[in-house]
Amino acid sequence: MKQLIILLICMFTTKSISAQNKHFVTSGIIEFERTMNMFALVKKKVTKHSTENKVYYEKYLQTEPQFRVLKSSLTFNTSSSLFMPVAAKNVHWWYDTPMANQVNIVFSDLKNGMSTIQKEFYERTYLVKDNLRKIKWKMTEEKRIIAGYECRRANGLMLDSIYVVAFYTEEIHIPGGPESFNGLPGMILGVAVPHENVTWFATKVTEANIDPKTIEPPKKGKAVNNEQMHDEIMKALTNQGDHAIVQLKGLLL
Amino acid sequence: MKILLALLAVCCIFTVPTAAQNSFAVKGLVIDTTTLVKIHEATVIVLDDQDSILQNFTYSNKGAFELNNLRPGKFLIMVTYPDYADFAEHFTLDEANPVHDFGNIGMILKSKLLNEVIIKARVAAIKIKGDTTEFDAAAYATQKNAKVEDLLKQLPGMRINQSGVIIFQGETVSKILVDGEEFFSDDPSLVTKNIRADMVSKVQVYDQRSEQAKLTGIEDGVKVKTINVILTEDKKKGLFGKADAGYGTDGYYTAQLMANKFSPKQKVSVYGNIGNTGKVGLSGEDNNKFGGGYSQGDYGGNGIPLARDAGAHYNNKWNKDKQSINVDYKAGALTTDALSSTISQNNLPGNFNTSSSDGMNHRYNFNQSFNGRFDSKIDSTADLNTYINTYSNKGDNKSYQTGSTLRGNGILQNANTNSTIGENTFESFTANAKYTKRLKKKGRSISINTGGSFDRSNSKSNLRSELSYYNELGLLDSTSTIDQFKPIVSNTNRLSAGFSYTDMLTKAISITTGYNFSRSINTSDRRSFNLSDDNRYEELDSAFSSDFKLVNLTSLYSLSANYSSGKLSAGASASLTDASYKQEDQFIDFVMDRKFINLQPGAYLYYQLSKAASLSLNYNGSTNQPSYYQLQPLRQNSDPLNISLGNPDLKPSFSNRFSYNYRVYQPTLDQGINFNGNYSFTTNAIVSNRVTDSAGVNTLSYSNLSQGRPNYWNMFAQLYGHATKLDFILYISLNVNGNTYFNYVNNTLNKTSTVEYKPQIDIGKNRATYSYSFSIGSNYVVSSSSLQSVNNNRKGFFSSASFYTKLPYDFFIGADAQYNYMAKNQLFNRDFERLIANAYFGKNFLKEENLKLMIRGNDLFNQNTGYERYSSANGFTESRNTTIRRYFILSLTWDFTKFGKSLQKQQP
Repeated sequence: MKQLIILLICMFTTKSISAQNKHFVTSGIIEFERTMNMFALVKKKVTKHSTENKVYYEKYLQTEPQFRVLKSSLTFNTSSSLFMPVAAKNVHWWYDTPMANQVNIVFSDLKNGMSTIQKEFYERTYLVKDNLRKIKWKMTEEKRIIAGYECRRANGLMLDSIYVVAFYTEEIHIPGGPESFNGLPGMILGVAVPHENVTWFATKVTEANIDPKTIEPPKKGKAVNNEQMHDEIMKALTNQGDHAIVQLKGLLL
Repeated sequence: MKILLALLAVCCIFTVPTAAQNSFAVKGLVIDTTTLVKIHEATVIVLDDQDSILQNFTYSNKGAFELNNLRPGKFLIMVTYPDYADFAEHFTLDEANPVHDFGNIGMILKSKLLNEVIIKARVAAIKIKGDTTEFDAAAYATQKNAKVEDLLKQLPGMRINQSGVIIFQGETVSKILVDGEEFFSDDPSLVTKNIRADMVSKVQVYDQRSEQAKLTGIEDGVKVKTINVILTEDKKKGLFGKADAGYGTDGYYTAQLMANKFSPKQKVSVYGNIGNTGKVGLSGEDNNKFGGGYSQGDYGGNGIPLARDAGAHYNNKWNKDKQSINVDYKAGALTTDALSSTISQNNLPGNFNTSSSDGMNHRYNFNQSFNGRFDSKIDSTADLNTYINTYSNKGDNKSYQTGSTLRGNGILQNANTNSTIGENTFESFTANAKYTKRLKKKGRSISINTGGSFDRSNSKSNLRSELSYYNELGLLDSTSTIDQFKPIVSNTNRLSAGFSYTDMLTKAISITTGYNFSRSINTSDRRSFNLSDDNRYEELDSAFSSDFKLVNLTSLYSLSANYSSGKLSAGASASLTDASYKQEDQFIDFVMDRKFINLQPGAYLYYQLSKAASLSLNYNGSTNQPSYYQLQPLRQNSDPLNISLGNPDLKPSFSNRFSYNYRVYQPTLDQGINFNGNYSFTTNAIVSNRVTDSAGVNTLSYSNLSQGRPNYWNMFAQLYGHATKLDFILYISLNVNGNTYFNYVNNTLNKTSTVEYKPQIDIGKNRATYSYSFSIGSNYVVSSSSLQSVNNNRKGFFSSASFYTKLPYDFFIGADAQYNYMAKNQLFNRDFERLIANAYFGKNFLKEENLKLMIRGNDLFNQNTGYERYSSANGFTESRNTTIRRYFILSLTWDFTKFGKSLQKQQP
């Protein structure tokens, strides 16, 4: 009986059974959308020591949309990638917070495990040269389709305490991703940082031959390493009170 | 801050590649199990065995892979490749075995594995849970402002026929619930045409027990195919509805209004319809009475109906949902006018006669119904359920008919004119209550129930009939004239009470035992008055008058046992009814006293073979008591050419019904198989005997059949799945059914055997902007009768097609057509074919497309002539009726919605 059923099912399963030589993308451009839940981000500005921000938060709820969407692109080939944000309108200073903006241009040298990040904040520009960010990844069974690619979910822990969820596709054999996300056995097409109310999802993957010249590290800014960068940020945040930790995460992510 | 800094520094150090090479490694070769081809660029991932943390990964090079620089420990290797099932296996590296060689790692294509591996995150469109089939509405695309009906049409196995009747896997759905609650209880179309498809989260289909079984707790073997429409949480609060008006050629018009206000605990709904197109304003009850279906849009197809109806529904829950009320009220008026003509041939042993008639008919009917349900949880262990229903109906009718019968040789046998003018009223009231108490031991409960009803019907009619009989030579032999006034009053009172007790013997076995007593008293006073000398209907015609009193007492004892554990559930039940039956006639001194012992055994088995497949088997047996009409027919002369005679010696018949249902559904591919079938036979069957005398008068009488068992069987097989590129759904189905039945013609036994073969192929695709469907099938019937030399074999085919598409600038266009063909055969010397095509074109306005202007053409080729033909081995009938034919109508529809906005609510 079972054989008969399988036979019958196969009869009208017209799907091809010879999917052996799968095509893998080796270079191209991925468009990302970063979505932030502004209700939550603005609410974080209301801290014990800055209760005056509550008025702005309430005003935001009444007048502004819940989600802010920013666009970016990731140009990649087998050895390197360049993450470039698309300039967007500023958030009114009442509601502004680093997490609501894209402050980095990220060049990743995937062959040698190095990265060059041009970071812009408080009208200052830095050029951070250091190793690729190390993220502890835990594999899961869950899958979903992003921009037409089947992706597998991995949960990660980075900067010691920030929990991230990423989706990578094994159809692009490049261990990169948006911003500084990397280290999975395929291109990361989706990231969610649930506690920071922000997600990145690929909207379009274009396969193209990329001129290696277009993937060049950024050059502007004061040259620092991770440690020096951290010191610079801490200096800038000294008078931010208990909102400093929130801003730090926004600037480091 | 210092801690963070330190951590950051640690992170940085951690990432510095360690120069120290070690010899811990894993290697292997990735190949396809079936073709043995080495797989290039497969992803190979090494995880920590304990917490699945990614250690390292690589890609295979022409199948081969090697991962060095591992540490000693326990690991999990995972090999993945698109379209292949994941491979995962544990391995250990230590000083003794620093290198683990997997050798060949065989990968299997997912399509080969079928559904052994089900990907967790993908939502299955269909789930089979026990005997419930659950559809996820999100998996089916519907157009904006679509209704539940449009959603149901897309569900695999679900069909909506021409009269709007919903059929699921070959069985008629007779009830639709909304969120598990009754909503205009007996009229599914008020759900399917009213509730919006975008409000629905899930659709469940299952068999419910009959109302009677729910009340008494005693299994009666009756299954009510039920659809439960579950709404999405955020659409449970809001206001929605539809207003529609249309005006057409030939005086056709429609107007319709439906409005609903829903909140999580409360639903309020009102509607009103008026129209004469047969598409609106026909409530379920009208259709039950006048047509085969229950939906709006069917009134039996005879005549031009003018329908007006309105109704309201209210349900509410309060006191932490402990109390709930559910009421609805409906009122409707229907007027139909029809002209009809019929020709039929009646085969007799060695001979036949032909009768023809022409008639006109006018009917008016006004009915009202009210249903109310109140349920209360008295405390955590006791429930009270009460139900009341009242129904009233008032109508009048006029009919006029002329007819004649010719003998086989063409000589006139009789001629008849018949006219009836009458009016009737009917009222009924039913009330039931049930109290259930759960006892301390889990699964032990006791329930008591009581109920009562009374019906009153009253009718008055004037009958005039002139019947002339002709002899063998066609000369007038005699005439008979009837001119009578016939008042009929009939009352029925019924009272019942009973209890049932349920206990769990073990975790898996439960038993239920019950007793129910009922008493019904029916009086039926039918009188006929002839015209007296002073021109008044005062002279009683006792031959056609009767005054019965019928007392029926029944005691029902039942016992059932159920077993349910994991994949298997099974049960058996038996009930015994002791019925006594006493009939008295006031006119003649006639008393009939009968006692019957009726048995009703039943058994079922349900087995979940795998996640995707299930099998069920069912058996029901029942004693069928002859009706009092068959035992002692009322003398009547309303149709002097067809007289029926009772037989007080009739014994009950016993029928057995076996059925099976086998279903497979594969969620990842959205395809499946349905096999179902049934077989039933009757012993000691009650059969009719039709005796036609030389004057052409038929006399019908009944007797028990001693040789032969009437039987019926049906087999249904259906496969469905998706085509790859165009992604339409394809159904291939085959229905084969057969029956054998017996009757006597002029005291000679006649056996009729029929087998019908009906293969059918359907395709369909539904998207938000376009849809199409096409279906083609044929039917072949082999039928013969032992008394006739001619056979009634029939061949035909049917096809239907429909499409809808959106056009630029919010225009849309669509059409549908049905074609039927029946070839000539030994009884009909002409082929029959009919094409009915409808088309529409219109434009949507507003952002949500909720204002629609549309022109629709009905029956474009004007082929709906009202011609029907029916044949059996004993003869055939051809009829023509007034029907709704070609017309064009311009209509404007406004869908309005206002749901609680979740925009400013914080989302996680």
